[in-house]
Amino acid sequence: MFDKLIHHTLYQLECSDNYTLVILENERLEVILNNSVLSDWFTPQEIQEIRSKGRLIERVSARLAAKIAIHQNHTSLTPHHIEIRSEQSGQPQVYIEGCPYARGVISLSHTRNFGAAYFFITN
Amino acid sequence: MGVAITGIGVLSAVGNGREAFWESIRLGRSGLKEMTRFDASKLSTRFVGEVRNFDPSEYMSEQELHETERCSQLAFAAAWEAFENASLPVDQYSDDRKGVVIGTSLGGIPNGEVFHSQWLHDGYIQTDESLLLAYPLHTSADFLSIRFRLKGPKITISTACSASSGAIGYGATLINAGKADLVIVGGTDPLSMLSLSGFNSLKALSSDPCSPYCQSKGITIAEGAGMLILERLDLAERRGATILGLVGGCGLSSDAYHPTAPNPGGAGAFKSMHTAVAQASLNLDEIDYVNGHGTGTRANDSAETSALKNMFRDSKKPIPVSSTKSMIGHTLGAAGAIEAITCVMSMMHNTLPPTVNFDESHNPYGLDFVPNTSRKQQVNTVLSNSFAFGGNNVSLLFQNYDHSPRSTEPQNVAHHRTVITGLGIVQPLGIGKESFFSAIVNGKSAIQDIPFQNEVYHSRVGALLDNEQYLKYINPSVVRRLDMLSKYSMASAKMTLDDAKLKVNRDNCERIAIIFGTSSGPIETVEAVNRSIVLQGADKVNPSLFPNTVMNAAAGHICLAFQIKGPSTTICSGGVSGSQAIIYAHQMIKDGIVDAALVIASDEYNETLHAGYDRLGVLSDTIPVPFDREGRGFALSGGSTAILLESEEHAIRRGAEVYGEVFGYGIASDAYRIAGNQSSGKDYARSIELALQDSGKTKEQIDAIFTDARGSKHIDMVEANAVRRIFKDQVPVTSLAGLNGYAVGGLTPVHTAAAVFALKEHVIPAIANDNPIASIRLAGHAERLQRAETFMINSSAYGGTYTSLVIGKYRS
Repeated sequence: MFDKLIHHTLYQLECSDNYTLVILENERLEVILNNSVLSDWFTPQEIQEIRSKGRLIERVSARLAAKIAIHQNHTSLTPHHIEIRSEQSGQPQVYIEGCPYARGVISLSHTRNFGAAYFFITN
Repeated sequence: MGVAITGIGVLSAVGNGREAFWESIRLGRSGLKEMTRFDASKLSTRFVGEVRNFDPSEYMSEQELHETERCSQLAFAAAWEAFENASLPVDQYSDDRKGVVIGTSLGGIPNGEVFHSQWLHDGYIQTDESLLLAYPLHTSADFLSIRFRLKGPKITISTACSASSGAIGYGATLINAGKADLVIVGGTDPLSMLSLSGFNSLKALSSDPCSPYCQSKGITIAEGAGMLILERLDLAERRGATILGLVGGCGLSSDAYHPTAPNPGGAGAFKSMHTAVAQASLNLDEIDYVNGHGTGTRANDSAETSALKNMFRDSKKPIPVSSTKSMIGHTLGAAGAIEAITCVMSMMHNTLPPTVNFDESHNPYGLDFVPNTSRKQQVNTVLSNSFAFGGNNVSLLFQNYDHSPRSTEPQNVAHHRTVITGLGIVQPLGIGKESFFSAIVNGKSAIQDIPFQNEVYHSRVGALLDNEQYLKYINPSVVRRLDMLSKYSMASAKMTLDDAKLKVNRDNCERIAIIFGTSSGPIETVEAVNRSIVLQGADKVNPSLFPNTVMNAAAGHICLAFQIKGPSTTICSGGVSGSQAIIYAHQMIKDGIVDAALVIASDEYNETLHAGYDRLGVLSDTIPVPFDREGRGFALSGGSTAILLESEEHAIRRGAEVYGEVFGYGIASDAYRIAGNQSSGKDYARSIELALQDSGKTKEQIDAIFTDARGSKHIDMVEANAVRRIFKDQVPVTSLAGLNGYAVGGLTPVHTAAAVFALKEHVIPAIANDNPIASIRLAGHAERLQRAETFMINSSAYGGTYTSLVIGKYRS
């Protein structure tokens, strides 16, 4: 699933030993989303969070970028294994199979055209 | 260093699982029965050796079943048993130190047969392209690497009936060379209409279950898989593993006699057996048993027994020889591995397996063939033979761990330097090195509109050889016997030997190797044979075509044409086939196995291949640009590149001009996905690091990188990430895929030739790309390198195998 997403929507993916940067193009993502459903990629909690605010594509794009970034380091995980939840402060927090992920921090960003995630591995 | 066998797993006509298998062998119970999965009405036999009672869903998920075919499924079940048998503690070895070497003759051919049939009957648009994902020969190795987390070296060998013996030998080489601590080796092959109808056309099938060394009326085709876990002996001992046996030696030779028939005097077979025994430093009286190739054809049985009589003529005791193919059938590429397991179990149980269907009143070849009944006897040392079409001979020597004398002294192994002394180029960009080099400088792409225009194809571009200039390099008397792949290869081989001024003669012919690399192999011939099966019937195959369907046919033709009789093997690891051929040749020279090796990497480009790749949606509809952010695919090309590698001493001794030196290499796998690659480039970067380490070079010493970038966004991004991890954007990168097209199995040899040019002229091919996918330094037009001493050459295969070579200027 991740490979298909990367193939169709990726603008940039850069990896090193301690970080991964993923940027997706929103316009291309919209084409993909027209042909699939959010539940293929997100848990119910994530979908609820995404839908609770505006600018759906931009938020979807940033979160998918985050999932791709984490998948680069944990290739056996499926999209549903990786959850990006918003903390009270608004800061994104990664959960792997329901548990908070302690080995790295994620930063999300989005514009009208792009969704981006920067995953920094701390240990 | 020593190589231990610590696990075995097998599926065959006589039983699934080692215990059931051995019970049948011990009792002389044949598994050759009437075929159930194929229509035998047009074949000259009803008998095959089918694997029965095998349900792959017991081992694999639904998705895995969908992504694989019978070849990989058999391999996986056998590997599962082998790993279970080895009782490896979790994390005993790091993933990076575990490798896989698989031998197969057919691979996913049955998938190809279904796809082709759909195409011919229902039209191209109705074909199921997913069948092609598991078609490549390297799919089994990819799948095992994914499931068992094998991220070290990954190689697929396809030398027809000796493929898995070659795989075992190469696995042992990798361990002895320090490239891995554990390697799973073995072979796998399914039944297919191609092999059944092909051998039928040659009138080589026995109407009854085969009778090796006795009636010798022909072979009985079978399917199966055998896998062995090889471990570094000292590490296996340290973990307290049960050591089932040792790999004591491996001898490879080439007959150089006939495309299919063995040398009737058995000279090649003698040489391979002799080499295997010599490697183990044994005398012939210490050999207790020979598991013969024993196919049941008159040609094999006669030649092999001649070789055996010659080999053991001074032996004090008669040597027992048996053919377990009389019970298992001929499992083609899996035969060597299944027979290796038979040998190991023979030592474990001190029992000689019998040759069944043997009329004891009729022993035409006069040796002790252990007729019909197994025999109890102390078995400490066993020789196993596998001989194949193309004259590819492999002999393996196995030893009983508890009864083998072992030296406690560290062995001083003299390593030889490998130099490049000859080039031969048959590529769209140029035929002959001068034409090729000038095309690099001009920068004009050879990719153009293809002649097989068809509105159903998405891509209409490719790089074809636009004339047949290369035919002048081939002896006209042999051209008619050659298919497209062999013609390309023969021409590049001839150019290389001429360029290197190397004369092959009686004195040196056994010290020269042929290492062939191809991704798709003789696809034109495979298509023609399969077309006749689908449209005309299984009994209508042209017998002159079938011998050219095996991947090692081209190498066999070259051995024959130039009378090269040293080791010969054919590597079919997809996009890394050419680079792995260079690596294997380099290792042989380094270890002193040979003085010189002719490396040839070839792939066809024709409508069949174009259609297949186009159906997978990986081809570009315009001239591709490597590392393009919008990369929409690649353009295929066909051709051949040959390189002569020699030991430094050999080159100096004969006064050869040295173009460059091979400093070192790295191989790694990502164990990620069949037909996919992990985009982070982490494991690709590991291959680069291993190559730097092996060559003793630092990243600062690399002056340019020849990459495998081809215009496909995803795979180019994998490499961009790998390069950036090691080199940031400090080193210029280049690729000829935009000028020459993507020569699937052979881009590294093409790049090696370009690197040789760059060592002299300081010019590397340019990449005209104003929208690169990552921050890397692309080579500019006519960019002159300030320093051109050392280059990195990378390649990658779909399925996640990566290789890196470091080559550079030779200094004595």
